[in-house]
Amino acid sequence: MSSLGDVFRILDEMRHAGVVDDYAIGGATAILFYAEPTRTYDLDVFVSLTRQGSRLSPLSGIYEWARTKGFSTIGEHILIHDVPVQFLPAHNALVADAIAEANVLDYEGARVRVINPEYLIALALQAGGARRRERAWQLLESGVVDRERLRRLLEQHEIDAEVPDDV
Amino acid sequence: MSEERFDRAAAQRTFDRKLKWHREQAALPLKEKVRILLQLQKQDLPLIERLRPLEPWERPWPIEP
Repeated sequence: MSSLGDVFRILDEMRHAGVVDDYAIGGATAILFYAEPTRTYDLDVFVSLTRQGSRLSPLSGIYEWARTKGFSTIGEHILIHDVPVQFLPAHNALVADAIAEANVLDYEGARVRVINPEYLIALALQAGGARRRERAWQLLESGVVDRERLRRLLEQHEIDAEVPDDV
Repeated sequence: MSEERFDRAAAQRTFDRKLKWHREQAALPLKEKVRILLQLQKQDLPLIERLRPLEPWERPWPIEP
């Protein structure tokens, strides 16, 4: 049976093969690295791309590469070792910075790029939605967030949100 | 101590216990957290299915941590 580490190894392979310029895990799977587990059924991977795909279909290079590797798709998700992975292009400056400044971490011997906690919160607040706000709160509660860095990020990207000190 | 003050103190203790539990969960080894995630996926799916139709990709990951 495959492991989550095998999935992470494929993501890194994709980067080395030049299919993506860079990538970073976001969403609930990224939160696992910093806070308590939260349920998700897919793995969000933000990617920066310069050469692949077209303007209308920026992710087409990733789908093509996945097909050659024998990974099937369900809708927008690519099944990497049967884990549904959703690739999301860097669609604004905050996402691009989050990918560039991701932490390089180790999971069971697999190298994995993970968006750092301050960017995860900023992305959640920028995207909005109750579930994302709940996850942002979880990260704040976990005690791993540099609140001053987060405040600077929110200001820089014009995200209107208060960062409490007593959580 | 008034009843109101007692309740406030009890609420604070509950809040502190919850915060401690969340921090303990956050501090678990990563592989253990992935194991919990895989368990949550199995546990929550029937509950979600009762509330709304599932997306085709919404299913427990058939992997090990």
